[in-house]
Amino acid sequence: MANKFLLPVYEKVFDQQFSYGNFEDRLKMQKMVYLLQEEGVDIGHYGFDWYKHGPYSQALLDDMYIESGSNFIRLNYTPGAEKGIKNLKDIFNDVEANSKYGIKNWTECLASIHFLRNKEMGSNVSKEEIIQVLVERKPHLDNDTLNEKAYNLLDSLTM
Amino acid sequence: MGIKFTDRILDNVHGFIEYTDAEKAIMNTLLFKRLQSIKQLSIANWIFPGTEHTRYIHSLGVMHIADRIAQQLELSDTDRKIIRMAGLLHDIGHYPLSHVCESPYKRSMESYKENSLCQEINRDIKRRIDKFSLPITKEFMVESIEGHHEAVGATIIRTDQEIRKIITAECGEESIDIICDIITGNVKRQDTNPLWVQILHSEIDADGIDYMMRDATFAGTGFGSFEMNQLIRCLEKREYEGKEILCINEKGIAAADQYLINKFFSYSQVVFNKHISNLEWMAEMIVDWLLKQSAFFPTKENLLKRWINTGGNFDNYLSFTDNFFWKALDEIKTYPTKYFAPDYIIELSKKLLNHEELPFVEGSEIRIISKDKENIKNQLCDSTIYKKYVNDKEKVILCNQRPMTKNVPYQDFIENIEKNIPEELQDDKVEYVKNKLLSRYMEGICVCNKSNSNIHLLCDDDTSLMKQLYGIELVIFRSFHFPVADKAKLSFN
Repeated sequence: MANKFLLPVYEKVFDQQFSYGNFEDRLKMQKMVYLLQEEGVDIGHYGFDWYKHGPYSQALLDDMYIESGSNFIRLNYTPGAEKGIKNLKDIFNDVEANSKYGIKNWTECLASIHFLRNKEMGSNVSKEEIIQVLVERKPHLDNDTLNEKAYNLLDSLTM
Repeated sequence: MGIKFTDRILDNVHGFIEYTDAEKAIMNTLLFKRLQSIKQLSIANWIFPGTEHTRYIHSLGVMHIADRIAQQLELSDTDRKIIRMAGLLHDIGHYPLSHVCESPYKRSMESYKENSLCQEINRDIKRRIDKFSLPITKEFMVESIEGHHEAVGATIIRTDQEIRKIITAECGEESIDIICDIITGNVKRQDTNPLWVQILHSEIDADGIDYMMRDATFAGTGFGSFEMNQLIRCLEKREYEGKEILCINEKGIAAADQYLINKFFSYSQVVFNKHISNLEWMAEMIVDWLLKQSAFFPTKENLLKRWINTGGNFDNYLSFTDNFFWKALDEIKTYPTKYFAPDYIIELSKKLLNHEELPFVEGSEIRIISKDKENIKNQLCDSTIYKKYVNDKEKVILCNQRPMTKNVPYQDFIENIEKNIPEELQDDKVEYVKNKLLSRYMEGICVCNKSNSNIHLLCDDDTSLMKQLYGIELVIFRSFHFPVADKAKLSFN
């Protein structure tokens, strides 16, 4: 398939153009699409599995490749989509998180906590247990305050 | 000891369906009774008058078939109770007119401009065709996402105290998450046995078995029926990478082939029927417009936040049935200025209320069945309909597509996977390939034999027709008159 939404939405969220050749851009796109899907924004329907950098979809990577270099499309977003994208953008732009983790690690932190909480572990598992698993799997995400902040911010993302 | 059934209901498809006190209590909730007002095949009954069956009886049928599979696999009574409950509740989050109203909720990303509506719709079809033959990695066991009726159903089960209480008393509190996983197709949670998910979420699952038999029975057509008893009798379980996999033994291969082929026919002959596609598209356009105007239909956000995730007040949601749709049409017709509805929405509403369709552009249907995607793409691009109408302002192109099976033989699959492993997954390569194979086995129809523990997919079996038919795709292309911009032409004559 192809997905005409990927490039314009990426630019809207990160205020920069997507470059397929750049690993950080691909990672940010993976986490952005994962969280938008979970928020209920209809950017696609990809299946995400857990790998080294957290939730990842191969079909999404294929679509990034197909779309890279396509002509930019201006979209007429619905109010619901506009709001959902803005919500995610606000969370991604958290000043403290960006200064300490950087945007790549921050997006990875958010998507990974969401995946652990909503897909892998039960609804009765505590915040502390989820963050502990996150740090075990991803030692580079070792800031407890930021991890907790990510966990709490994800609640505001759910529709 | 067995499960204690206390009552039964007569079903046209499966005969008597027995149920327990707890299941009866679920059936007596208003949330479940709501399914009696949602037709399984939306407005297909205008073309196949017998298709009056609802999501209510389908849910009972899925519970019955899921349990027959569970018994065939010799699962414990405790496990059977959970699987039965998941089958019973699997459609509790369905939208009015089933998938007709769900589709607009799934594409609420962008609004079409009214003055170039046909062109924008056709442009999306053109984009789809232009990229039709590009190779993509297939994903299996993809979980339902937010807004999908299964995810809505899981939210209802987690939120409604009455349903929670019944499930907790019957199956234990931990079963709530498991039932939700079975319904949404989540095989990632450690506490949920993926075998249970496969019983409701795979290429040969209780949901498909029931709706195929039911739709064929009620439509009065042979397209869709198959040797159900033989199919279920031949189901077994095996292990792959420590996970249980639903399989069919060698004696069931013909029944499994028949099931897939008839599923293909049921789409090509009933679901993609010219009149049904046309009428359902008209209905989708109206819901799409209403939804994007926040008129009558709740926005996705409001549906999820204020109608469902409310802590137990489902008053609005209970009326969200087929009648809700027809009431919306009547409102538009009676009070057109109240909703600032454009002329084409008013006209579409009137037409549906009068059981009228958009006029078909004579000779515009193309029906292709092929394995060769490049060939399909070329045939579509060379067609008159594509050349003539893709930029047309007054004709809309509708496209239906359906594969015979999603699966491909092992060799093709593994070559494609290994060739395309991206740099970011090189460290995870072994795990990645293992996971892909596992989910492929979970979703596809696996064949097992008595002599060893090996499993393989139907499309890799020398005695299965799927070895020849995998990769076949049906594509139907049609055009309809739809002059949205010109008020003078709105009678569509």
